Amino acid sequence: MKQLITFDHSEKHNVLNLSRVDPALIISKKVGKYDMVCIRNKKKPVLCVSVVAIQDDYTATLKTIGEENILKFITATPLTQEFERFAAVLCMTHGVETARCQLLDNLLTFSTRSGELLCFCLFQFLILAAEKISGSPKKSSTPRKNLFATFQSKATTTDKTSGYSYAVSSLSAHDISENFHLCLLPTDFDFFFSPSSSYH
Amino acid sequence: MIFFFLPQVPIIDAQDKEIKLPGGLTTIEKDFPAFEGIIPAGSVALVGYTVGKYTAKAFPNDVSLSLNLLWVAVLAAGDDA
Repeated sequence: MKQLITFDHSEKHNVLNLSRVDPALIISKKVGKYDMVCIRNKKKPVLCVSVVAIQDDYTATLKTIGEENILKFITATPLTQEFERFAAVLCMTHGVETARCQLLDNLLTFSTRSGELLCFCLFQFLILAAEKISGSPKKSSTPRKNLFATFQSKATTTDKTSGYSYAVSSLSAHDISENFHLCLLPTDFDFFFSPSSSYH
Repeated sequence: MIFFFLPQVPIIDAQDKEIKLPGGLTTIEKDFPAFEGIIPAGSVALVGYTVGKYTAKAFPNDVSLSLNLLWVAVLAAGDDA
């Protein structure tokens, strides 16, 4: 376990631990359509590994985000002190002081990429095509909004009805509050994280 | 039905066998058996993922990061396993 937590990186195997790696070794560059974190001299995105405590597992079920995105995901708590370095390394890699990621209280969300859901889109298309042939009304066909309502999670649920901002003082009680500014905007299910202490 | 069209996320049971570092991390899906059932809350796991950058429509001036889940290796299952 200790070896997994303290593992930093392997250029040969293109794998690293963002909480331990030297940030000078990694960059964000375009791989295909997307900007991905990579080891400097590698063409493929680097495999990142982190030891975490799992909170919710939605890999065997589904969760809708908004009206369109359907994802599999886990929510997990990073180890104390590991998250601070994780955030600082990512901010340095992208050359910013603040960045956004899916984070609520002390729970990070790791999810499948919505870009991988082409098959789902195809499935939806087939449903619509079948309706057109059968003449059934569209209205009753794809109740996507309510289909997965029972799989709601604090970490990823958007609440567009509320007009207030959540006040979050810390990631893990005392440690983070001194180092990070966190604020949740209810129209988007993520937080700012800013390694402010690194720049002071 | 929709579930079967989505990409699978391998959940691996690494409780009884040590993960060899660093090479074992790239072959972890082949080297370990699948974890049965839902991962219990409180389980300790090693998560494999990539990090992507995107610009959120609502926050065009901010850097947004996505943590793209590839696999989960359960190191110690929680009590309700």
